[in-house]
Amino acid sequence: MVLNEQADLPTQLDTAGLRKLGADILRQSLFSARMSNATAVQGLREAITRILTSLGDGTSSDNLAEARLKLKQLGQLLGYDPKSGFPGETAEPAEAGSLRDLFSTNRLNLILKTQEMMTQGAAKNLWGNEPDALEQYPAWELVRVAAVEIPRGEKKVKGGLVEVPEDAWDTANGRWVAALQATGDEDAQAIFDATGRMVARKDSAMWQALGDGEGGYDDTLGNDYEPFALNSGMGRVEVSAKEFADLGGSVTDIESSDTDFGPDTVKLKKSRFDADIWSELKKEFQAGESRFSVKLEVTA
Amino acid sequence: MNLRVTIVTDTAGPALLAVSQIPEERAQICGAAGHRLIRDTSAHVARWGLSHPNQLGGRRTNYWAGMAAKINPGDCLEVSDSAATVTLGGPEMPGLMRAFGDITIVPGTKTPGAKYIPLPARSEAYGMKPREFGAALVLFWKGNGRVGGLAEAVPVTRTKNTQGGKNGSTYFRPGLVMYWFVTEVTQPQDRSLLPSDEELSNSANAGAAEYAGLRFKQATGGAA
Repeated sequence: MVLNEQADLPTQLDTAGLRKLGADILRQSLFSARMSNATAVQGLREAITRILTSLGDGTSSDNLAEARLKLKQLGQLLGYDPKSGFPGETAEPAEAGSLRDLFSTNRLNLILKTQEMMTQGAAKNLWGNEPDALEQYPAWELVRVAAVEIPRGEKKVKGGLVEVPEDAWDTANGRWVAALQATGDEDAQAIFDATGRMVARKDSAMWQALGDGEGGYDDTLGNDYEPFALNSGMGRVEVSAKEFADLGGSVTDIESSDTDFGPDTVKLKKSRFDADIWSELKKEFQAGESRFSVKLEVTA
Repeated sequence: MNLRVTIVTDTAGPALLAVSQIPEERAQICGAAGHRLIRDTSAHVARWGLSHPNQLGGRRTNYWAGMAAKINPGDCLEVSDSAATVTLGGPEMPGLMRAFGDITIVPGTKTPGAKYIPLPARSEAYGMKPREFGAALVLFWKGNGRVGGLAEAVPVTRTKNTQGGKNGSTYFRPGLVMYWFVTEVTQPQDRSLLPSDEELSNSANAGAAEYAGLRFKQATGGAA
């Protein structure tokens, strides 16, 4: 689990300040902007861990509200006051309940959800780049995975919402196109032009460009994995080799000669059978002559 | 509770029989089938969450987006030379088993001693724990204690006519009901939360077929 490899980093910097520290720091440290109390940062880390994993005692992992309540109780215990910060420190006063209030519902929601997605996104980079996964699923597609109140590309104004296409992900002058311009990824460009889908190879520079906010976006997190920008609701799904080829993508130089599914299986060199066997096997599956069945069991 | 999805060979044509002579090859194909089933299941759960806002129209917690991310090959897939097993549910993914039966939630499982579950009555309460409201809520009971809950605390200044307390002091009466107390909550089964049996089977077989196609391409040096 990536989270356990992270180091807590108490800091009073805001998000823009954290970005300046560089992606490595963000990747290795818990995103806890302006959380300057080490005990609070540790509490935040534990809360995120409990969202992602259960204690193994039969109880379920925490939901967002349970994690948030624990943190609010910790804030009270530590004597945090939005007007003055933690006891003994000098902090800029924050309006209670605002995003600058370290233990406000909105701020904790933002941090917990961002951290949850970042940890899962970083883990996705690990399992998604295992040799077998990389070979069978050489590309990612950027899609909406979570609902947000105001998605990128819209802006709240008096009387309703207005469109801001340059801030959207998939518009002709939006974030994906800005990243395409910065990276020159021809495959991704061609796929986007033809289908409007945001697909790029797993090893494309597109993902880092999105996370770096290429095009001048200052709400990004500096990572080549989701959520890319604060509260984006965007994530990646794998695109198979066939799907990617059908879209016109090339997987040249993404190679994997060995596959290892775990300690109980053996590494395999992938040239054991002649082409005609594999061709026949594909046809058998397509015609239903060879078929897997799926058995579902509910177990205690 | 867990859902265990076991992917095994149902029908084997000559090519699959030939390839299956080698356990490692069988494992590869099973693994490819399992990986595809997981990818498609994760995407299904994320889509399900996006299309199911909470009943009161409150702020989205994106609970199902988190569940979808937990459905990944790194955590859920086990492969042997005869089968792929995908394990879903359990304490890491509470709620997912609703696809296979009603789920009854009772108080006290995570908060020892709790007798009631607070059920949100208004959108503002959705996704919030009552204690997060602090003193903004007051307890109320009606019908000789048969019905209770937590309501918005409305300040009232005592007057000469108010019984008890000092004249001019403030007390709180219940206003808008924010939570109703219930002794259990049953979430009805919703099979649509996970892909249908047929969709799961199609995913597994599509993964296996593509794996064979990939190997063919590799054996022919990239020819389609």
